[in-house]
Amino acid sequence: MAYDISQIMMLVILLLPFAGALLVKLLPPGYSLRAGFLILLLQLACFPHVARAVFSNSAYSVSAKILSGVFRCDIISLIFATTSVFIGVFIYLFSMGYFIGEKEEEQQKFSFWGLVFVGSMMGVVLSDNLILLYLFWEMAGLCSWKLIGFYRKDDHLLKADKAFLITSAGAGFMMLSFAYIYVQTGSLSLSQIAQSSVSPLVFAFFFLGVITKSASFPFHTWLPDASVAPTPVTAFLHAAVLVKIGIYGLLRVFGVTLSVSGWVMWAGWLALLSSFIAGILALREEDIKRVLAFSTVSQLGFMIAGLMIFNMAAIRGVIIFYVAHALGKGCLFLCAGIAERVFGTKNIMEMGGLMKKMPALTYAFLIGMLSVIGIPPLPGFFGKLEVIAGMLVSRNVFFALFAILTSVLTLLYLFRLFLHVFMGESRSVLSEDRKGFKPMIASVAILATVSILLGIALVM
Amino acid sequence: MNINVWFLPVIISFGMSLVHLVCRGMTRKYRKWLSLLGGIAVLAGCFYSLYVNSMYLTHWQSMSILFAVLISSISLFSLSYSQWYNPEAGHAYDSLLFLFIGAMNGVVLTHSFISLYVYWEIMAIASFFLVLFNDTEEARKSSVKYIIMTGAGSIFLLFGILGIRLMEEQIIWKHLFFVSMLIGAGIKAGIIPLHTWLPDAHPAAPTPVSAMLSGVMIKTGVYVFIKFYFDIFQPAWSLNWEAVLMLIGVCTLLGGVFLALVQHDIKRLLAYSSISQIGYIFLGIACGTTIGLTGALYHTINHAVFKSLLFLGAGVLIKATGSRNLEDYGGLSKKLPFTFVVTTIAALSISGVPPFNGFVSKWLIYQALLAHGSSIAVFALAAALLGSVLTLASFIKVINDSFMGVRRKDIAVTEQEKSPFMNVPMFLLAIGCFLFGIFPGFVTERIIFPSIGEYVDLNIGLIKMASLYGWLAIVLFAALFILGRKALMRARATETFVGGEIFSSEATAFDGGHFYGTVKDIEPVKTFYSAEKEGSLDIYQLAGKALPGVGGFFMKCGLRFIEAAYAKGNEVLNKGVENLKLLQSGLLAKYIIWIFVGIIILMEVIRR
Repeated sequence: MAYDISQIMMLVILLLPFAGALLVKLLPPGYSLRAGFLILLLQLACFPHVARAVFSNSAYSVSAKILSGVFRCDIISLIFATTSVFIGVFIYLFSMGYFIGEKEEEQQKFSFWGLVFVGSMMGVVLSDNLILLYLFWEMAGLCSWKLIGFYRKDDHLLKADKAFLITSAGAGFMMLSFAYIYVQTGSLSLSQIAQSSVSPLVFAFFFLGVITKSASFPFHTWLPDASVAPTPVTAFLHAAVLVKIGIYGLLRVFGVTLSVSGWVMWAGWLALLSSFIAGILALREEDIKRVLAFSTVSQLGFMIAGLMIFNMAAIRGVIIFYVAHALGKGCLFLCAGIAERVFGTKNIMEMGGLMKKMPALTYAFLIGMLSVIGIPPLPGFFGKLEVIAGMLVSRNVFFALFAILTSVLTLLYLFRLFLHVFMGESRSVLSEDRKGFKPMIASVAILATVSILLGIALVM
Repeated sequence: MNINVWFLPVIISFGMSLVHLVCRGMTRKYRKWLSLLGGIAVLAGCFYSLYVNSMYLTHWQSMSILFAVLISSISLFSLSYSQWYNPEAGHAYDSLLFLFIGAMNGVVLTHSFISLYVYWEIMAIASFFLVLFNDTEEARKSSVKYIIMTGAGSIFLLFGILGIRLMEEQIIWKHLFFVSMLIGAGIKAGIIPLHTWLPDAHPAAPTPVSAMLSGVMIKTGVYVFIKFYFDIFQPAWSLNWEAVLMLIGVCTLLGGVFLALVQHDIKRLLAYSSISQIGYIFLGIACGTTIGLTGALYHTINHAVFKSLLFLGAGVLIKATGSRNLEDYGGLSKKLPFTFVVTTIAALSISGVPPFNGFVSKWLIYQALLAHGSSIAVFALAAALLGSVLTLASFIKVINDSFMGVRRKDIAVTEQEKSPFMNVPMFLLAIGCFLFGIFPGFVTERIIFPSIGEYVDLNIGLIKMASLYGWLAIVLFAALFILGRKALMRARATETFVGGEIFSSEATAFDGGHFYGTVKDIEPVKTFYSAEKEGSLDIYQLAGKALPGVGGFFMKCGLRFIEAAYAKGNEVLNKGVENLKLLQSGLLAKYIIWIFVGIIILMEVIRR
């Protein structure tokens, strides 16, 4: 049978970032960011074909014949992949403004590793085989190591090492659980092992991999430390690629494929505890990026806890909230990058009064913030609503109560951030240098607009 | 029923909001009329919706439309007033006002819980920006406090709503959901101890907005509470929370009025007095009987009328003198006679003096408490009476300090009290104070009973009689005034001299602020005042202090430990690697031995 267009497109989606990365290395360094941007746009243009096939096929699955049983795309993969690439496009747009004034080699380095990063995310979400999933998972870890230590300063390198060591140690445990899955089910192909049941120990090992990658308590410390990296990189880490891999893995392997026989609610409680602690820590932080990083930890805990309910409403809610959080947090991080540029500091106590100076930025930040908090009619609300509804439907009232408390904490620290950064009088000298601000503002504005549009679409 | 017509007020207000956003270039001259027309259209929409659907309404829907009419009319008055008060405001202000009005109408009109929540949040965001509108340091602080507290409240409300929707048979959790809902609605309504956003946000907002906040927005909290309590919790789950609700009502009532007594800032005083009136409403609800609910609804309507009138009057004072402090006013009755009259009417109404409207609803609430008969109800009755007296005291202070006595600041009388945009709404509200007071039978039978769905004999004869005596008194006073006017005219007005000195001076004038300041020294109340002043009753400040502390605790206990574990792990690993070096001695014979050992272990494993 000839390949139909959707299968080819899927392979293109998978391979384009890697090919693009090679291209970026070959091109003169000055063009690298533009090339990366165009490649991601091209990749985004491939998605409609795949989406049409996924939605028309009743099995919601497109497998590439040439690699049958190795890669496939269903609706979950499609949502995760589209979100990543979409956010990636705007991070590249943002970085075109952000890296003005840097050396061209640095731009090339970012462009190269960013594309590999997106490619490894595509690999994770599209692969149908646990070994392949592990491979791409580690590849993403490697990219994150390279990108966190972007400026190659000593302390940055230490933090990059920490991130890499923690996540790959977790991944090692995950490998162990894959071996166990093989022993218990006799296969490593996700579509073959569907609906089989495994022991809680397998889950425990896998969960270690997830919480190291998704930065949950007690393995969350690398994520706030990683905020030393340049803004586009942190946006990649938090919104588009890295920490979302853990959510995807959990959703893919234990949410829809395998079922666990035994009590695993401790994992949900651990995630909620992580969410709660991170929320409180975010209230103490004074570094804008660290506040947002702790906020990510908190929201990730919320998502993992939602997944641990294992019912359809909660899973649907987590997927919606994943998209909302990616858009909202991406927007927040990019706004934080702009604020850092303007004030020349990361300390929120020295900021203030940005509301009058840059109203467009303020609205974008506000929309991202309200979406993450979960205020209707923005998409984050519908995600949180479904997750909490799922918790209540499955009779986990204390779970739901705890989730509510973390939502209140989210409200507290994000409004605290807003108060210190945007309101009041400025406490430091604003730099008047507006070079490269156009693409930066454009990217946050588009992300905020898309948030609103998505929310309106969900209302309908 | 016709669902499109039903939501007409919401659609019109959101439409007007959009129109204001689009027509950003319009000058204030035209925008003024546009806003006024929009407000009238919203009110007309309410009535049209009532007219079209009047045949098919259930009693809950009647209550919705009652609240919608209340919201739309107070909003119309505030809109009109704000054309005089805030003439420089841009298009964003009007647009936000209409967004706010539409969201409030949506909250009371909607049937579904989730869309109620959506409107609730739109209302919170719109009012956040309205409180922020003046953009002073005070406005910034209090608007953030407001949005955080109500945001937290609405998350609790959401939890309660979802719990009700999804776990209806799960009876053991009903109390949890009820408390969650009570927190959510109570923060909005401003019950003590969740009230602390209210005295900060009301003064910070522009006056028309404060009138709307205090007049109708906090009533949406009351509406939501009534709806959930009587629609779901009371009949289906038979909660026995009456005593607790009564206690909440008593605390809110007394706490609010005691705090109102000692305020110097007029808007803050009005805000605290709003809290205390919410206490009356909660007492009525807590009785759970038809007459109690009648009293609560009646008081809700009345409070909307006289409190918005008081705020509008306060706005005139603020605009005239440029100060919110009562001690800066004094002797303004000659300069602002109209404001003096309407504010006095509102003050008499809120204090429950017949024949004004406050008397009727308070009387109904007292009657409900008496009929309830439990000992806590009797206690609540005593507290309510005390609260009424103290309310009168606090408003005597307002009237005395602002309109009577010695003028402490010279004001320019030009421009004051001339604009019909400001006169007409205040006049209409004052008329409302009368009408709701002298026709209690009409109001209860035609307006309130349909929204409760039950009809009882209220024994209104007594109220009517009291009203009648009140009327008589007023007519007598009026007659005396008119007859004696000539005599008064003839009288010679001079300064009062005592021993050759002018008597009525700063030093000898009766100063309400100091007089009432002595209340602070009464023993049990003293601790309450100091607690409120230090903010140890304020959940927001407590959370602001405690949460970073908790974070510090986690930092110390958990995270240090984890960081130490990472460091230790690193050390151990390094050492382990050093030890592993011993295995790599470089001797071939040793390696072969390792290989053999390995193979033997492997064989053993496979053999099993």
